[in-house]
Amino acid sequence: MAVRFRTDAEELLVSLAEATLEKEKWYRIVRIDAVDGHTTRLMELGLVEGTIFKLANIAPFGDPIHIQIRGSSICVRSQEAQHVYIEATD
Amino acid sequence: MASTSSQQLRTVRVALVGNPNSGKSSLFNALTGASQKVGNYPGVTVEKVSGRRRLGDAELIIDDLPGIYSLTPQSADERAAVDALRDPKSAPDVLVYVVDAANLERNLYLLHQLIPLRIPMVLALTMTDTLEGVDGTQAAKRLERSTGIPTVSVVSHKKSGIDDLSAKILEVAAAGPEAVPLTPQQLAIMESLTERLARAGFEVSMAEVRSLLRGENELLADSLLRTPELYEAVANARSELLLTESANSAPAARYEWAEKVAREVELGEAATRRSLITKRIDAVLTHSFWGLVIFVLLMYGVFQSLYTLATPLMDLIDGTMAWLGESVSETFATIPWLQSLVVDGVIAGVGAVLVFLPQIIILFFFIAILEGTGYMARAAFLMDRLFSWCGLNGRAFIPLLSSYACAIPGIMSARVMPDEKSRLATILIAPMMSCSARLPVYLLFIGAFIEPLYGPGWAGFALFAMHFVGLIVAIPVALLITRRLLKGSSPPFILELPSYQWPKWKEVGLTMFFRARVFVVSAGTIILAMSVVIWALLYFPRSEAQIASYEREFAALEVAGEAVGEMESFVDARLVENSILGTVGHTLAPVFYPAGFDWRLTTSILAAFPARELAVSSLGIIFSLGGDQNEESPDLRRALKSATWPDGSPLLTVASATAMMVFFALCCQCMATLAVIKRETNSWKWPTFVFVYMTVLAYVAAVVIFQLLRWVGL
Repeated sequence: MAVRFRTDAEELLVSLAEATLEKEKWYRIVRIDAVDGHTTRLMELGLVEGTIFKLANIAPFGDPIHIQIRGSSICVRSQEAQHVYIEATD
Repeated sequence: MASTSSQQLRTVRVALVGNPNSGKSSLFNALTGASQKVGNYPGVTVEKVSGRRRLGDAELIIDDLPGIYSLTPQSADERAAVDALRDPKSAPDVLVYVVDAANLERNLYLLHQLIPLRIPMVLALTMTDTLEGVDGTQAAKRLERSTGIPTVSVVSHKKSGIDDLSAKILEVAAAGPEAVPLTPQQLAIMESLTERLARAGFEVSMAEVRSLLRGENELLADSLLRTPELYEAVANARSELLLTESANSAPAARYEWAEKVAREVELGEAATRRSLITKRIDAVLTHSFWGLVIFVLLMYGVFQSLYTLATPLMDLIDGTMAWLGESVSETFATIPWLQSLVVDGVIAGVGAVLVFLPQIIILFFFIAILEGTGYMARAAFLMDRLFSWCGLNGRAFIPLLSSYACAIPGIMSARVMPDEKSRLATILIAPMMSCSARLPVYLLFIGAFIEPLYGPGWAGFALFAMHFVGLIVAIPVALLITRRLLKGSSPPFILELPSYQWPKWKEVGLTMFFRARVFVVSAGTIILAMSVVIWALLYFPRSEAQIASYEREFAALEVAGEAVGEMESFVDARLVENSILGTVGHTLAPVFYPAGFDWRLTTSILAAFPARELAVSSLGIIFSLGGDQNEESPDLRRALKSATWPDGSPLLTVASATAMMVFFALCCQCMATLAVIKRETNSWKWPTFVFVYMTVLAYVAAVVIFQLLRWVGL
């Protein structure tokens, strides 16, 4: 596997796994890396670049999280969420 | 392919495809009613459900394919569905794609992938009844216009649209290749060509343009020859069509199309309003604290009522079978072996099957409601963290908790897990949960050896601990199974939480009925056959001469003043001791010495292999007290306490009694469990695996516990 260094711009990206989300606020997906079948599935469920979503709830013990996206409710484990980069919308 | 013949029914093979939770199964039920057949896809444990529907001289053979989100399968279930569509041999005549109006964009995503499969297609638009202010028929028309694929609006539980859909399926089947849907790009090319022709005065339909582009409409082609620029437009369209073969297939591009179509279908705010109700409920039910509280209360309610409702029914079945045995026993009184075969083999075997039905039916009643309302996914979400670290997921909760009552409904309920790998792992550890049939063994040994010595406090703790032994041992077993034994990475646990709905009672009823039928038909026959075999092992060899010699033996003991109890019980004990099973018990006994068991305990363990419910009564028989002993019988407790090794040392101590309980906690002494695992995994490999690993674990644990406790002086 090729070693790839993160550029400065990528350093600023916040992943869904590490972000502290607020309820009732909209966030936008800025990038999602299809690293494996799991993340591919997330994209197939509509988590593609530019899509906005909202946090609904966090499960007991902190994982997984429940988000609302494209009118559906989806829950995402942190293992997958680390490949989804997000930003807050204004 | 559809075929016509004067005598024969014209058969049309239909595949029902859709996202999970899209209303696909409800539609399947509405289409096929009770004509459903459950089988398996070849080589996998994925259940294949199909049904039939008669329509005049035609018959639809409908396969309900497992729910999929895309044509990139991540689990065995999804692969079975995708293979059924991709393999030309199994490809259906007509594909019915179920489109959930409440999740339009995501459902259109898969449609975008299905179109290039070149299978004649009909869309069934569902869930419009749950969207306030949306006219399903109008929405279906707009979807049809936007996608170019025939669309019918259906409300499955009201049977509305079902006849229209069936008629449309026949229509599309008859049209054959003409009904193969066009990709969005192809559709756009043909639309613009149709317009172009219309502007030049050629009012032709899309279908005609389509056949023109395929080079099959010579009439139209000839008339266009006179206008060279039109002829050129057709040639251009043809080459453009060729280019669309390499269309962009990135998820983002597909979603762009999905968004466009969804806009054209104009469901407006209805879907948002509906999801608002779901959001409000979810604010509580998936809340990290309140969600958990409600979950615990709900599960307590479910399992409490399962227990209270099933127990009297099970007692009733037991009582009825016992009565039946007694009533027919007179008929065969002249032939003792036949009498015993009918009463102790066949009738007891039928009873052993039927006794599980109340729990199965009641558990599936609750599961159907939990699934039907959409709560099951929330329960899985809340519990996921507890299971994910050992390779399972939140959906394992219901099967494993059910297994605490009984592994049979527990293993059957593992079907709430859509992915094969976690389902299999859950099935394989479910028999480790301490089911209610182990309780009498715990109560007997705790009552006889722990309570008198250490008081009720420790007795309570021991009972509690016994219920945890299986769970604790199951964790490393689960890890080993998911990490080492089952190959392939686990499929993503990315769970969709469907919108809340009221349960549909008819579907709840169908679920209960089909589960009960599947159990009786496929597992029941195995259980019955096994109980006859076990009966024979305990009954033979047996002869009048043998019985007479045991009776003389008892008389001699009586003379010597050493006889204990009834002669009949003594003879029964001697017969069991010398039966095939008893002989095996004697032979195997040395193996169990390190666990502190003699041949009597070993034989009672062997006799309990068909069903651990038999453990206490077989101890009663072996200790010459007769088969009607229960865990509270003072005679049996006394007999166990006074039993000795040949050298006079006590047979059962705290150490060997605990080893006995641990053995029962971990051992797979239940042929019904094995029969159900065979049924659910469609292979003898997995029941054999469960039997071997649990028996080995039980033996090793019993030896370790016995040696450890003896070493500390108990």
